[in-house]
Amino acid sequence: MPARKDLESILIIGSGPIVIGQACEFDYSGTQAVQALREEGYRIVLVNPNPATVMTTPNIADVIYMEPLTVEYLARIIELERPDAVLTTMGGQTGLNVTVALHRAGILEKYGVEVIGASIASIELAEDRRRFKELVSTLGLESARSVTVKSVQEGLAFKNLVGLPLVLRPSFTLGGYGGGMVMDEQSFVPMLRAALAASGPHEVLVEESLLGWKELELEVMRDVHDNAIVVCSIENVDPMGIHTGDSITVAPIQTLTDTEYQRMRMGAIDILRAVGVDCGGSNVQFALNPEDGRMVVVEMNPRVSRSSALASKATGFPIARCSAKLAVGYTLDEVLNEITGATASSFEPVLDYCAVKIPRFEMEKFPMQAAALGTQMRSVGEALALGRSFGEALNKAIRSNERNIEGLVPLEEIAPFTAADVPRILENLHPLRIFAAYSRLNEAGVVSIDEICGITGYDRWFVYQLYRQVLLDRRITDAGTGIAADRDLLLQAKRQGMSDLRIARLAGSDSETVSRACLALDILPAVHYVDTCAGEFDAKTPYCYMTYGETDEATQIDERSVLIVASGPNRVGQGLEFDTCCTLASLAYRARGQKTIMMNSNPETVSTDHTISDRLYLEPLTTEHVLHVIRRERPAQVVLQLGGQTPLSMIEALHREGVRIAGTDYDAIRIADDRKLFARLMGELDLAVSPNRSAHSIEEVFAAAKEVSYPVLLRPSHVLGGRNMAIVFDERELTEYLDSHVRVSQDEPLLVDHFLEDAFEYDLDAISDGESLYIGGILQHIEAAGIHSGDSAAVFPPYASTPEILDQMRSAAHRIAVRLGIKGFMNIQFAVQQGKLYVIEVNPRASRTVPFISKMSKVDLIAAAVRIWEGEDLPAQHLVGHRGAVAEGTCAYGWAVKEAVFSFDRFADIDPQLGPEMRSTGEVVGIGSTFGEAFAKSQIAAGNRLPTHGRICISVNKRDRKTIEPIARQLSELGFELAATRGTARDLFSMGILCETVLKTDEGHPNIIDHLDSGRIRMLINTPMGKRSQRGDENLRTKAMHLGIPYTTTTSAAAAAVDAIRYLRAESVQVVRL
Amino acid sequence: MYKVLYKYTEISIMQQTFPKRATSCCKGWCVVHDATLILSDGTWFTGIGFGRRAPLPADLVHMEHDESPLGEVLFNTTMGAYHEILTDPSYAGQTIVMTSAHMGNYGCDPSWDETFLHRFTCKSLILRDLYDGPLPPGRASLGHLCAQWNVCGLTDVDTRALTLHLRSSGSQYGVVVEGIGHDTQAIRMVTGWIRSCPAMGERDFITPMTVPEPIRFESYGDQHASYALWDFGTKASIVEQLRRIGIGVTVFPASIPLVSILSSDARYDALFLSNGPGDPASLQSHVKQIASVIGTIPVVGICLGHQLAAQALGAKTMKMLYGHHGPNHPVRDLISGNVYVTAQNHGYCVDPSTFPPSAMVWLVNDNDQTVEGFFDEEHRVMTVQFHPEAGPGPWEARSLFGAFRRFVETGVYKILAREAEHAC
Repeated sequence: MPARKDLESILIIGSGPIVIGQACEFDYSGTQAVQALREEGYRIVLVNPNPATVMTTPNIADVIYMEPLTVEYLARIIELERPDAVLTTMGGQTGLNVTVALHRAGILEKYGVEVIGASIASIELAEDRRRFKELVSTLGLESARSVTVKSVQEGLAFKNLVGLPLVLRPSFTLGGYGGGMVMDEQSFVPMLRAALAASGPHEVLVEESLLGWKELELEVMRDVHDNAIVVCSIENVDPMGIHTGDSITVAPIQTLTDTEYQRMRMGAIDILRAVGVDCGGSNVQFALNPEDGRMVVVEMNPRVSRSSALASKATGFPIARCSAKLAVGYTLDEVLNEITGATASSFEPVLDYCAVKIPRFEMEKFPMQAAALGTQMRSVGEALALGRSFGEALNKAIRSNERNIEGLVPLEEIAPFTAADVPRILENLHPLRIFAAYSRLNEAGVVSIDEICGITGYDRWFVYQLYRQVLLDRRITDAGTGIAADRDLLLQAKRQGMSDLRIARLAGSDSETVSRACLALDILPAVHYVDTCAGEFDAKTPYCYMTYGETDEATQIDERSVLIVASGPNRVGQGLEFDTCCTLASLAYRARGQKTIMMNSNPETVSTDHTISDRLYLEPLTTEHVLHVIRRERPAQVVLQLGGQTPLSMIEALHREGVRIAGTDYDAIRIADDRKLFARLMGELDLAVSPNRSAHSIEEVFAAAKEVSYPVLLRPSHVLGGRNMAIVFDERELTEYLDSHVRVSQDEPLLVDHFLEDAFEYDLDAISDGESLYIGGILQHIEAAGIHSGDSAAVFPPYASTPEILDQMRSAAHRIAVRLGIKGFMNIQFAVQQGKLYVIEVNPRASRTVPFISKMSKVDLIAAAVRIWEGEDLPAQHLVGHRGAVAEGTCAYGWAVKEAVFSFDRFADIDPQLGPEMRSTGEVVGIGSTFGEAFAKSQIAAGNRLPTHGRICISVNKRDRKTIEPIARQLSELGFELAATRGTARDLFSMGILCETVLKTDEGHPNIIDHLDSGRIRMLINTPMGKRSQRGDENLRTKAMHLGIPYTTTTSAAAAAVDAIRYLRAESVQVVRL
Repeated sequence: MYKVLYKYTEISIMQQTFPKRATSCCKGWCVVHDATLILSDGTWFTGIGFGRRAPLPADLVHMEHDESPLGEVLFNTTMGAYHEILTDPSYAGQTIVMTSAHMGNYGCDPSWDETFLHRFTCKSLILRDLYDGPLPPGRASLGHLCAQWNVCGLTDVDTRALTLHLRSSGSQYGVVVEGIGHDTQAIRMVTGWIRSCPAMGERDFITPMTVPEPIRFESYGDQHASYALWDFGTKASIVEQLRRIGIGVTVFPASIPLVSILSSDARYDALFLSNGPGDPASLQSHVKQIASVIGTIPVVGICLGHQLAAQALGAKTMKMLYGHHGPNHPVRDLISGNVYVTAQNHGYCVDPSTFPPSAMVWLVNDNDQTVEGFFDEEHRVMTVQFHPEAGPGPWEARSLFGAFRRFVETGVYKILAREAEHAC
């Protein structure tokens, strides 16, 4: 059937900010869907408040809105744009939920918007666990035995019937939020209570445990003619009990017999048919009891998902693109498989390699107990690797994870673990369990295979693959440095996916010797194409991976190609923003006729969509792999400025190899990176920096702290997102910090800075050609200095600043750019304390705010940077008037506020305090013609509900008492009741403002926290009281965050909130069409 | 007539036996040695031999082609299901390259056998990686199975390069020999010997693959009909699927003349022509016999049976470059518009331009438009090229057995209502 002619315009809803369980896979699928539908001539209206996304880039969709994903705002957009249909399946759970809400509110019916992709009925059927289970049983399939409960009593009755362990799954939540596994009697009631609270409709499914069963997933597509295909089968190495997002997985399925697999395949297709998915893809999960082969349907998602993005990258089959085409009436056989160019899409992909995915956890930022993993997703990102064997793919995937683990190694080689930790880690659902299994095999040999299978639930096939690694490692150890002459052994090690460094460590050699030996023995990687058909057809594909000891299939793509090294797995501090920069750079180069090569390991991203570049390498982002790609492709230049710290950290090694790096020279980057050189440069340029020292021993740390004077900011060198950063106010706290966190040595210096208390921070993003400077924009942070820039709300343009200080920033930026010879991106963080400008840091690369500023200023900084790297200076681009000039972008929409979004709700047991260490996982934007509107929208989009009435509590330090007066007065005039701590209340009273006095946390009960708990306080204004009350402030903040009560730490943020509240009180819903 | 001959082999680590491969190997079944697959065009691929010991190049000259591991080399893209493929009689005389990364992962079980004979089927099995670790209780290893079935195994081969080579140069003879390639003189000698082998079409694969005696299988549950199955090397799952839909089947050796089968006292509702190995054009005596009974009894068939029935109606078959061997071939039903994902295994196909006007090609391959099935209401013939019995799967085309049954009963084609098949 051809595409539907009765539709003209289609609404696509994105998934909003990145949170755990909903990451950039929805930018990938949404972008693909938008492109697929625009090809068909539809007008696409896109809504997503996430400024970091590719999909919200100008010209990707016909009409773009970056508004909160709430019924009010979407209704307003629908009213204005009158789309004929809404595509429900691209925006993750958020997209589905808001579509259902629009349907329930009658908006879709009112404006005649048809639901395409998955109907409301199928969404509700798949989401309603009870009805879904009934349906499964009518198909002759089984579900886990379970009951849906609305009270603790009902849950107890079922528990007495079935026994423990039991699984709790709250209805309608993201990534299993609020659920978990109950192992013992004591925790049953509290956990059930929490699960009931987490569910919107107060409904929880209590289910028999499938712990230890094999966990399998199928990605299925079905069309209106009832044609169906399985695009990809995925087997979890970690059995049931760990959320599939947190499991190591392999595609295709490895350990099922043909009968088991086919039974599952037919079951999955039957489920799609019964649920009514007839124009799109779904993910169906199964569990299989390894003892008796009993197969149970776990769940299905009638939409694209993280798994479908993974399946797309594992097979090369563009699921989201095809789903979009099916949604407008095409059938599977009509949607040509773009990869082979020879087969129809109704051709099921077959693989001749293994695709292994490993989740990335942020164990430092979100500390977990040993048994931390469960049915609730906790990982923040993932890496995928392809190899001709499971072992090769596994080793590559471990390196792709960028945790400084060289592949499969014993647990005791991973700091801070020791051999004594092996049994504990092995027995618990721990992210490093596979390494503990390796340790055990290494120590106990083949006889421990059954034991490990019994403890972990890994299939014996997987454990045996680990054992093969043990045997190979022993042979390498035995060969010692002689391996450099043993071609067979070296080749076998490389075929197993081992890195030069790992081989060297085992052989007692060094990685350069191993690399040289490989070169000398002609052991070089071969390029294979990902062709979806296991070589059956001559695939016209740009998607490659590397392996060893096999025939090479590819040749150099072009002599003038550009290699873009992307940013690897998502993590806190390095996420979607950087991937978007890489993607847009590739598109910009290609628009100029330049061939691009993308290299990345993150399956969730747009950059690993093989249509984005002329050639895509899915490979670990380590120097070794990057150099291999460079050796083969001999690109004209290599772009390292866009992928965050991952590519930039390779610059020295690549520079040494004589690689031509696009833009700024290595020397300039070294200066920006080196504390001493940087301080000297700032001195020469007459720019102030906060006094700072590098300390190489514990003693030096104390001395340095005294010299620069307390409070001091501490951080290990070479970190992104501020890992292990802290502010300490005195020697006692410094001792605590050093005891708990950090190693200080000659090689790992600790940076000690004087902390600028009560300062305002600014972010300046610019591009330079070495002479002129174009400033994309200056952002002012609303939160006070001391909170990581990535975690602070930021305003474009600066909202509370002076022209003089902004001029100083411009001039400083220009001088730095010229002095360093910046060619391309530069990001500077400034602080202003009592009217004095300090330079905090200079990053000679694209920052996380580049996509945000590009969109809000309507100047594509990435394309401009590409033009600089291609030799076109800023005057030639008409961005500045003449050589040596400075120009600056302005916010095209009045005001734009970027607000950070956190995933703390997944970690109930940790303190959500903010500080110099970044912890947010995503961001949203609020756009408005007034600052208040922009700020209010950013808060709504981030899920923070500012109050429009009720009681607001104020507790501010002495310096702020003057500035708080007008704010308090305005709040009072707006009809809010005020409460304040004693000192503040007294001063406010003297200014003629009446308020209730509440006790501070250390003044007895009922204190401010008790009031928060009882729900009497709707918002908190609390500026730092200095070091003594730091801890109390943190407790307050933690409490407020857990209770979802808005909280501001600066009077300027409080003033911003007042503006926002005023906008909210007006109840006007304004939307901005970009 | 069929005995369980496997036993679960305890693994023992014999790493020293073959240090090049840092894994264990199972004592008893598996002779590991350097071995090379040499193709008739002189291309060679090295690997590690297992199962039946490969002959030395010098030994070949003393061997009959039929007794040697010489086979027509083709690739199969199925991701698993190695047991069903290895025991499928259609592969007689062939060497199968499995493109998937790992094979042998879950072991072997005699209940998955596709042949009624405990006899060799394919000549060699070429793998990227053979699993030789512990298995679920009661299962035998793939290496063990190869040894028992006299199949030359070769693992650690660059199967992707081999597949790409076969894709461009076509299926051809090849033989696995002991020792490593590089010896150009030995390779020249081996390729010379390979070329002395008669073409596939000149060799008889049916005699060893057909049952020696008729075997009767009653249907499961109520019996609606009884078919005579002329066996050219039938897959057990064809008989199984017929029995499941209420059809009793008598499997007859291909050597018994059709006339005597159909004139026997037992009355058959239809003649079923089975799948089987080899070149369909070489079976002219069988084609003639079929032609002589067409019209007197409904004829249904699968794969080789489809090619024989088409020839009996006057159509011609032709050799494909590298054929269809895999689990993912889309077959379009031209009447309903539906597309089935099917399992396929054939190196020949029927030339669609040679069908008589009475024949209706109703199923075609959606990738290359080759004929996948036809029916002829005038002559009461309905056959398919692919494998709806699905051993290995996918299972969705199993509903075609219902179509066969209805065609036999009514003599006319009815648009199939797609039905979910849960049969196993």
